[in-house]
Amino acid sequence: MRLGEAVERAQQGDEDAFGTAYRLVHPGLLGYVRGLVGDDAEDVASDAWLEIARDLGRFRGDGAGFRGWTATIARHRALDHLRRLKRRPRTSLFEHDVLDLPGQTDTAGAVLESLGTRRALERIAELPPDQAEAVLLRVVVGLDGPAAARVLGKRPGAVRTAAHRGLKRLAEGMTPEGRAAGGPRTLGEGT
Amino acid sequence: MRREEQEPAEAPVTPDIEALADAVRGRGGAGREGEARALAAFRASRDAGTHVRTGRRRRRDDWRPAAGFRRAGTRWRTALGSLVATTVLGGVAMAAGVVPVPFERRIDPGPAPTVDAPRSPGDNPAAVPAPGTTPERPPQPAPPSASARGPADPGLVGLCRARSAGNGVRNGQVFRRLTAAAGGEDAVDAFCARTLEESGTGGAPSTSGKPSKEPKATKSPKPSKSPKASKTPKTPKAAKSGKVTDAA
Repeated sequence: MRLGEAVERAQQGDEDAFGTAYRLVHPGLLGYVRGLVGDDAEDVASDAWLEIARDLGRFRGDGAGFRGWTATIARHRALDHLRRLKRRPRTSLFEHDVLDLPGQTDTAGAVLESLGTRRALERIAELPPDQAEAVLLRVVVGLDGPAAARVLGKRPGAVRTAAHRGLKRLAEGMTPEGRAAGGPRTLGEGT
Repeated sequence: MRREEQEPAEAPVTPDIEALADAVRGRGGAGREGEARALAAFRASRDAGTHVRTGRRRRRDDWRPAAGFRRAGTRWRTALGSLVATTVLGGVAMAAGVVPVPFERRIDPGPAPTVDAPRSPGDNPAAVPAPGTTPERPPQPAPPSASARGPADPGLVGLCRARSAGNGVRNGQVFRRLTAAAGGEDAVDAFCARTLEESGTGGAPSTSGKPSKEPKATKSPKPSKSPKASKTPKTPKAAKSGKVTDAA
């Protein structure tokens, strides 16, 4: 079932369809929130989903729109969370605690996955915050440029530029030369 | 969903970056537990009836694709665009002489309504009435005879404005009327400068010194209407508010 269809059916009360929408959207949403609030991401995303479930009847749009709508809600929840912590997004965006992902590392697979997640977040954390968030929205959540701009409340041109620069920088850092040239810090560095 | 499929690659999304994004997404974290919570919230909301598509509309909940907005907004924009284009370009068209000037009757240099005696060409209505004119007659509507230095006749002011808007085209009805009023083609620019100055609005001799661009071109009745019409309207709000009313 496609996302747009799932959302539409969920709006008509179909619980299974809502579960489908959740499974399609949640990973990207969680990744985005991880970038914003670090290890509180699960809680914040959970709060966001409560609001999404509550306001589902208000939503208008297709699958892509649903991604944008949910990302906006998640972002608000994340910023609320950071405000409660009396920290500005800048200081906690990709802070160290982002590396302390939830301790659900009971299986080897989870450990490996967590490792990859940490590395990936750290790579993105090297970008300036506006670029990092634009990249998250574009490639992790999967929004197009205008939708990402709407989530951020910025002009599409500015977000496009930020995403472009961020992605370019990431791509450059991924070349073998970039890695050799003391490029990205990695988790394995200190160990 | 359309957008999901044809996402434009405005930035270099390499396979490496896709892999990075996959890593950030992970497996969706707590998995079934989070989903169970979300589903519980969904059921609660549904059973409370809040999923019914009514209630207060909030712009932030409307993520319909731009195509939808455009389709809905087209009618508004077309209507508004036509209105603006008519207003703006109408002046240009009049200046170019391709449409009848609605106020030309007022400046028709022909017989003035109350003329019972000819006025001297240099008649200055502000001054003492020239011999032959009726004293009671208000000095206002000085008929623009040749090289008349009348006050800012509203009709003439309008014509001069229209002429400015038309970039000083030297043909068409407006120009002919002004020529008649000014007493010669070459006198039109100076005449309009004076007229506009006297009218107190836009006294700048906007067209004087500017060579006419298309001396003989007979403009088509619809000069460049469409390109401007599509540009002018900026009514996203109107379009949206009009669209938000489709409560199911």
